[in-house]
Amino acid sequence: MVVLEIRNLSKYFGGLAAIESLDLNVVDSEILGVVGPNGAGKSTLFNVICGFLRPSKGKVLFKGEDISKLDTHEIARRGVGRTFQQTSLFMMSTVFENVLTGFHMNYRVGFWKTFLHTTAARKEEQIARQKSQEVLDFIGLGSQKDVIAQKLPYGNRKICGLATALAANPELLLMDEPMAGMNYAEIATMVKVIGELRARGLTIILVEHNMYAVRNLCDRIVVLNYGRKLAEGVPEEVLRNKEVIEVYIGRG
Amino acid sequence: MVIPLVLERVYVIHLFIMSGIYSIIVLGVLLQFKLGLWNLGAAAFWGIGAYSSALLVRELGLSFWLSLPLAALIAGACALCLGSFFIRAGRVSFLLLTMVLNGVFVEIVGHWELVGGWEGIPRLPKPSIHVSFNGSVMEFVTKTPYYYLLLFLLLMTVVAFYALYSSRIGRTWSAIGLNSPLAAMLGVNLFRYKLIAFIIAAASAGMGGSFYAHYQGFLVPRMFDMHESFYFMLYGVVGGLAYPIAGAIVGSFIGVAIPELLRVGEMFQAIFFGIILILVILFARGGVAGLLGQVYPIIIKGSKGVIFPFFRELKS
Repeated sequence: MVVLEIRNLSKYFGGLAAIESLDLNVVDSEILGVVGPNGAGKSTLFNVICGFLRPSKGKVLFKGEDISKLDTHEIARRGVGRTFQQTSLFMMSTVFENVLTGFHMNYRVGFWKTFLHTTAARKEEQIARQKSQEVLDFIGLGSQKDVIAQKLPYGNRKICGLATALAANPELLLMDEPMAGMNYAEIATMVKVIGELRARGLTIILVEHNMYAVRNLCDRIVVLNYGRKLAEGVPEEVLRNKEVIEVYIGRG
Repeated sequence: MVIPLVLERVYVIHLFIMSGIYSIIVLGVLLQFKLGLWNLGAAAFWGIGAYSSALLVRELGLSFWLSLPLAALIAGACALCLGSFFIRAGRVSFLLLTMVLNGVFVEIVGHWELVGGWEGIPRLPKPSIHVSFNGSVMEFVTKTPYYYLLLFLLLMTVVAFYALYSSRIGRTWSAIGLNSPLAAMLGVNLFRYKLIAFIIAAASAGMGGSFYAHYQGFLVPRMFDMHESFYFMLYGVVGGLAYPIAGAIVGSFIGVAIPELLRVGEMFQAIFFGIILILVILFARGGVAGLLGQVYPIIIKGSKGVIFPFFRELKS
């Protein structure tokens, strides 16, 4: 079952084609890797999917629905989540508050009831706090819950950012270079975590430069270069493709 | 609260009242600032509230006690209409639009005969309370009753803002201010939350305006000039951007006190204010409220949950 379909997508910034005639399908519960040199259009692709940018041409369909023209929060509410490259946290809030914000979409109580702190509002707040605590205990950051995110070591920041994104209970998760800046131990842990997420039914699109992670996690990968799809297929084959190697290492 | 009983100096009461009025408006200014809405047109909503109230009383014969909440509603309604357009613009565009709004408001009111053009509305009736059981009427003759009324209004506004900030709404506002793309990806409707803040700020300014009109007893367009809007922002910054409630009040009191303590002419007042502003930016990011907070921890404790996360370090 196709979860995300990108049809003939193009995105231009003035004369520059950041993405050109891209066709892509993402299937339920798979991990799709998107790789390519810097400037290939990977971040632009994510930004278009999430609604920060509108397509110049073409469409993005999520579970069959055209989301190309929707606002970011509407796309998020339909089940799309994202971790950002460096800034996937509310830096000046505590770990607990970060994860708590992830549960924002669960609230049903309206403005006035929230303002007046009615019983219903307080009850929902209580439930969200409880869930946040559970999430934190599950991922092992329970002891750090009152630490301000900015003071966390890098690895823990990434974990917290992932936890916050997962609190929003997405069906499709876009991960923007989650391994960036990690050491081998952290990468190994992250690979395990992401594998675990897939096992639980989460569909993931992974933009990543780290080839170890890509090889071990991705069911399929897509290589982008200058906004165009260069190759697509199973990691072993694609990474042996001559053109792909040229693009990364250069000719000669 | 005890002050009017102890100090018979009417002028000091006047200063307190003006500080209070400004506080109500600056509360709204700081709220918007937190969300990236740089509003330099708050005086326009202040004026909308003031003039609406005056017209309701003079043309429709309503009592002040009715025109006050109505003025707040009218100002809020204007914000609702304008906000849909203003907020979708970028930060800088929003800033410019609010400035334009302020200027346009003053011009419209200055050329409108119904509100007396540039001469304004001269004699507004003072508020009065009809005590029903023995038919007597309490008029607001001295400044004292105004003081108590303002205290009540200010308290009510502070409580309302505190209720908002300590709720999920306040947390969402913080999230928007800290990392709006992330907030949007967590399902936060940025536009709606910004609009709510814009309307709330406008309504409080409008309420302050209504009180101001009937306190002064007259209205002139120049009272709501653009430089007033600059002062509101200034009071907010000096008071402390990190403390959206304490900062608004502290900043407004300083803003009113300084011209009084330095009665050496407007130019020098402006320079002194400039110096204080620079000192605050360089040394006391939490503003004066932050400094006070280190001396009187109650300010910080009381602000728990209300501190702008930007300046968290100051809490410890």
